[in-house]
Amino acid sequence: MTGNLYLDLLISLGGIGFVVGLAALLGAGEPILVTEENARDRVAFDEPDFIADNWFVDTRGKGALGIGKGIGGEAAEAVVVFRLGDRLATRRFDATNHSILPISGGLRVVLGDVSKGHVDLFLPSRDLVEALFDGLKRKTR
Amino acid sequence: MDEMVFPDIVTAAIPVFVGLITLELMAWRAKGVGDYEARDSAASLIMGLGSQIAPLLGGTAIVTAVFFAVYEVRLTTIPNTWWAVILCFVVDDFRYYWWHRVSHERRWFWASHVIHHSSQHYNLTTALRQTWTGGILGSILFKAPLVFLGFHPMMLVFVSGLNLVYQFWIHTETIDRMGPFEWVFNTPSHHRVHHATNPRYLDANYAGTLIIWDRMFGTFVREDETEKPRYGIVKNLGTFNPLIISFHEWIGIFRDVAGSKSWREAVGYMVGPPGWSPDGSRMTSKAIKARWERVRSQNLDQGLNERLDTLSPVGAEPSVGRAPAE
Repeated sequence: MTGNLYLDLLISLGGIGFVVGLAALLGAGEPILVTEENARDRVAFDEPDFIADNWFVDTRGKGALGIGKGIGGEAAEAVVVFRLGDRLATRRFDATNHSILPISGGLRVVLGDVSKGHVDLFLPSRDLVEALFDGLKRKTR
Repeated sequence: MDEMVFPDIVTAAIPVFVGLITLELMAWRAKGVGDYEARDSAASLIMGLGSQIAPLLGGTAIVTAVFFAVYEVRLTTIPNTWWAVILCFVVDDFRYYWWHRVSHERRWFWASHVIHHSSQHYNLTTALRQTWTGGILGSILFKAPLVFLGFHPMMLVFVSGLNLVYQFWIHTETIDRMGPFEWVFNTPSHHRVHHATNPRYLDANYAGTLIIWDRMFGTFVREDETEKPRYGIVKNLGTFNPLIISFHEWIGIFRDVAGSKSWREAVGYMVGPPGWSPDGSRMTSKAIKARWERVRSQNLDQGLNERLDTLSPVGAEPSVGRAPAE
């Protein structure tokens, strides 16, 4: 633009700051809250052949875990829904491969994904966490 | 080279980009049309800035050297005239179609191009979410043949820039259908389909400026008013971090190749379709479409059965063809 790389960089960063600042000023930064309803909707789109038996929704609205129908049968598939800004993303995984770990007040879904290493979900009661892990133990036994 | 001077059209257009983004933001706020998230836009713009800087690290020099070397052994000399610029634009747009199609169908090229599709939003900042990698191989494989034909490298750079600038304004939800213009040109509606992850829209509308290439080669899909596009990639990212956005697929390729059990597997992971795996455990876009068709037909069957059950409950005799009971 000007022939001076540093000045060009400064102008470009100024332009980015202007646009992002304007977007934020106009309210384009509200994060979405994950609910069972919007998690189901997202999974129905991303994984239409996945049918969840149970949903465990994070109390902070940051994610939800759906355990597949197969939990009492032969497969223990699960899907985790998490938010990115005002959108949701999903990962489908095998719940029997020790990918769900207990943490204080909830559970950690370990994805090992380049862009999302894990998702922590805090559940409303300890009983719910225990029920989930009991179910998984029965399945993986 | 003749007297014709080719300006740096992309750099010249940047103030226009900023102005149009501002207008789109205003429209989004005032009318609720459009689609913005501040951090997503920040990531897109940083990717755009990076895409302008990355070639300075050596890519531009290598590609320029190759282009001028190829020009030395060109088949013929196409003069730098206005008609040659138009011809070059059309030929380059054809080149763009195939480069773009390969970028979706082969993982090595997808690793660079996925960046442009990695936003779940579709607005003018998405247009600027461009790759930091892939420029050297893509340019040499797909553009150098045009130089070999006899187009001057600077003319080619100019028309490619023009194509890129054209594609900026089609990244918007604020413009609806455009009538007969859509028969020939790529439009916001056509390109919304291209960015959508709805199975019916996958692998469609690769055009740069002219949509005729998609119509000719069977990849054209019309935007269906009953099915709103959902943007992004089939496995959406979980971060706004530009470094991860830029390199996540390359890291994925590296991991897969490192864990390969044979050369065949390694090659498959690199140049197979995105989502390819030796055991078929991952999903390519073809598999996603097939799954969608399967689930859809199951749902249709289920819906039909439920409807039939309602009309004719189990145990009840059909009343068709019978005289009404008195």
